[in-house]
Amino acid sequence: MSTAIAASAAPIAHHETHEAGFIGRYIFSVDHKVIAKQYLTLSAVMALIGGGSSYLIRWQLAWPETSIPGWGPIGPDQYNALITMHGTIMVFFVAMPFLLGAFGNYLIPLMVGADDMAFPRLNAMSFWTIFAASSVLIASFFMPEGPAASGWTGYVPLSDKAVYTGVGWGQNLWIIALALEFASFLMGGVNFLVTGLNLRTRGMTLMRLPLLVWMELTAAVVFLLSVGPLIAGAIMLLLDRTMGTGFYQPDKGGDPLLWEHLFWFFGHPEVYVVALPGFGIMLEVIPVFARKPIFGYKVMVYSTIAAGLLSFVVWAHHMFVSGMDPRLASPFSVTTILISVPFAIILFSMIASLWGGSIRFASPMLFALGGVATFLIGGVTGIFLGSAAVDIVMHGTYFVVAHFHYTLFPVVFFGGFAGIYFWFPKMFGRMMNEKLAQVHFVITFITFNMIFIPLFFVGLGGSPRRIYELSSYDMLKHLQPLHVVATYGAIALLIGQVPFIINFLYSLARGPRAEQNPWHANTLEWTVGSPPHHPNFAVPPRVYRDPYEYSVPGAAQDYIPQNVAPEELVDIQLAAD
Amino acid sequence: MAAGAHVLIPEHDDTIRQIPPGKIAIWWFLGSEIMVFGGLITAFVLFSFASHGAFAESAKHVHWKLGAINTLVLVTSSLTMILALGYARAHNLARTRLCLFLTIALGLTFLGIKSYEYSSEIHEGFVPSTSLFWSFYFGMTGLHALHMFGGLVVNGLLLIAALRKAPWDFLERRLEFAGLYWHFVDVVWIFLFPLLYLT
Amino acid sequence: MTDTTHDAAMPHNQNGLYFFIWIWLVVLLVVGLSIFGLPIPRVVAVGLIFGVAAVKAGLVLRNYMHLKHEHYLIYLIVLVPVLFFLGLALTLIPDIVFRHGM
Repeated sequence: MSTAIAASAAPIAHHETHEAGFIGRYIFSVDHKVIAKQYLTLSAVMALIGGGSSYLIRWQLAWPETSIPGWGPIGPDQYNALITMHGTIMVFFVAMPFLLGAFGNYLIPLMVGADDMAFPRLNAMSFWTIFAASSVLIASFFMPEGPAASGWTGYVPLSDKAVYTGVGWGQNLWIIALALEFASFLMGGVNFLVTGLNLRTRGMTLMRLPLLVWMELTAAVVFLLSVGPLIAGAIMLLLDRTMGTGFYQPDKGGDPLLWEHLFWFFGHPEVYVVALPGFGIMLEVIPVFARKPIFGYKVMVYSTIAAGLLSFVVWAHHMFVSGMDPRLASPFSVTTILISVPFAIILFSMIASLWGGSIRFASPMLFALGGVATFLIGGVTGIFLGSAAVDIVMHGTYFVVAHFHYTLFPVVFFGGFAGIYFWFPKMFGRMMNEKLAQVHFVITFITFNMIFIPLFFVGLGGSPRRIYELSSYDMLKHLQPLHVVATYGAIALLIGQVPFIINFLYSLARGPRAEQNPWHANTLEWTVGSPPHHPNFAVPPRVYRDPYEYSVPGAAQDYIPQNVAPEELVDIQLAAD
Repeated sequence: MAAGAHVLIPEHDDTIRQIPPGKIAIWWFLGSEIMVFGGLITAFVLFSFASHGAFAESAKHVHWKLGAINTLVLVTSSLTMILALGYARAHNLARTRLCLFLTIALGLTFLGIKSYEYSSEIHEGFVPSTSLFWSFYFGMTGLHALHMFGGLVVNGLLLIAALRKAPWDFLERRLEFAGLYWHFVDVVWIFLFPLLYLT
Repeated sequence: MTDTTHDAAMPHNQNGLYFFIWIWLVVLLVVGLSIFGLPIPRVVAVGLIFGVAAVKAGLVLRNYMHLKHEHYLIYLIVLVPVLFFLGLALTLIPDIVFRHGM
């Protein structure tokens, strides 16, 4: 840490070249681009663990109580730990660092025309905090009783006393890891907000911001405001487990329902914190590969803000059958149905942005479109679950599992992969292989649906979730073939990521050199080198237009970057004549 | 790179760009802290109503006089903290250092009185696990004390900087931000005191 | 980073004001302590005490934290979280207060 301070002793505001050693440049770097790649690496490593756990889970469900190849047999305790860690890792240690830590950090300064985040050292600290959090979480795997086994939602009373799950320090470390992760994103969120609000370059008004920046900023605000009550709740849980307090224990005057309220007050906004940046990526890719402006920019901004606000008043739709006051059911059903409106607007706007465009099915576009298509299924099934009457039957079944995978996977992975394929040239200065990318898309798209469509029917057939072994229930026996299909899909999905890994690594080393603006896009990151020099902008850019001026009638080129002045435009037209 | 902040552009949202980044960062951080303490306070208040007098019973054993003294101590430390900023703006190094020193001293006094309270309560047999009221009491004042401790560390570092005659704009800025945090911790206590000691 | 934090609207020497506010804070502390001695219903006493606390907090926020000179965005940053956690508290009343202990 002192190296970071030493390395950044020279003020960043001036264009000095300060020599930093290897540690200052690559390990404790304060450069937002390096930090973004650190987040990317962390989320990739955690994704391997999270994905690996899904392999074990799916095998157990398809062929219960057999020995899993490469691992061995697992018992119910291990199963519970696996589903807990799969959820925890995927939401907090893959989705967040990938969509916010990596893309947010890399792109926000570039897109607003700044040389770095407002607080570069805080940025570095936020990465190392989540690194510490990940280390604590991985350490929990090695505890004598294993890692947390309460579900990623950590419901009490199961999580409230070690004796209920049989897990002692594993669960405590889970709480601590989450607390550190929250601290990391609090720091990062403040950085995003100050950078996006204060460090915009000349001419970059709020209404000229690329939509990805709007999404990341809204996500930061939503996270900042929602995480507090859960931090309070987590402190209470840790005290219950370690100091014998009774915040969640009725015999001591506490209330288990309090945990659910506090968890979901954060938990629901959290999923929009993840979803919005995923949409943001799609919204940057779509206009570039349709050569058309985004339809309804202002409405998009207002819908995003509305979605962020509404996300705070829907949380109890996770609790319809929890035993909470039934009179809360109707208001929360109403708000949940309401929140589908801004999201519908966003999705329809994406589709309208495609209409009449000159569409090029390059890999970023394929993933963006795949994300839109699959998210639609997720969103629609959410409406069913938002109605309390339906949820009473569907809660805790595989229908919910399929629903949330149809929302989370599209934004994190389809959106995320679209982002990687799109910005890889900018980040690493090389092009990825397009054919391998398209193979990756086809496999991912098909296998993803192969896993989760059957699971909708498993849920409709009445199968509860989070059960280690379902084949001994007579009423569920007929659903077993669906589990088998889903597992084949899961294995194929995991194998299908190999072309991506090969493509990524090979292109890093040997890909063809990328030019400055290979996709002919408008936002400011494409006005600097691939990869950008240090500092990002030799001269602070001046912005004259909004980011989506594609195929403007009468213009010589089908794209006009944001920093092109009106006078220069005339020159381009004259030159073209 | 605060390139945009120095240039006057007739764009209506430019006023946001003129807020110093550090200030807006501290306020965002305080906003999230409001949610943390708010969560705990919410839970406490609700359980208090649900306890049908049990909380009020337990609260009788809390040392309200010590709590009142601590409130006075903390409020005074807020005064000395803001005076430190005032003197820094007037470029009066001696008084800036004095006020910072007093703030730290008062903060340590607060923690000292708190520790005395804790030890006597534990001695009387009241520990976090005794009852839900005590769980909240120790939990909330403990979290508050941790925040105070953090504030003391920051103020200590600033005092060292002031002793080393750091440049004025560095001191003024950092004192303002540290002050915002310190005053926030004071405001939290202003609510915790009646909540835990007086009701 | 950026320039100084001086707000042109803020008078240069505010120390007198700070002392003045401190006097009020101490007075309000004493007032708050004496509320329970009054012959009023408990609920009213509790309400008054929190009212006093709110006034004290407001004094600190407006004068020590300079909120009265600040941009409206900062007001929002303070106001919105308070509204949110009040909303949370209200929503939890049916569950924690009334159904608790059943």
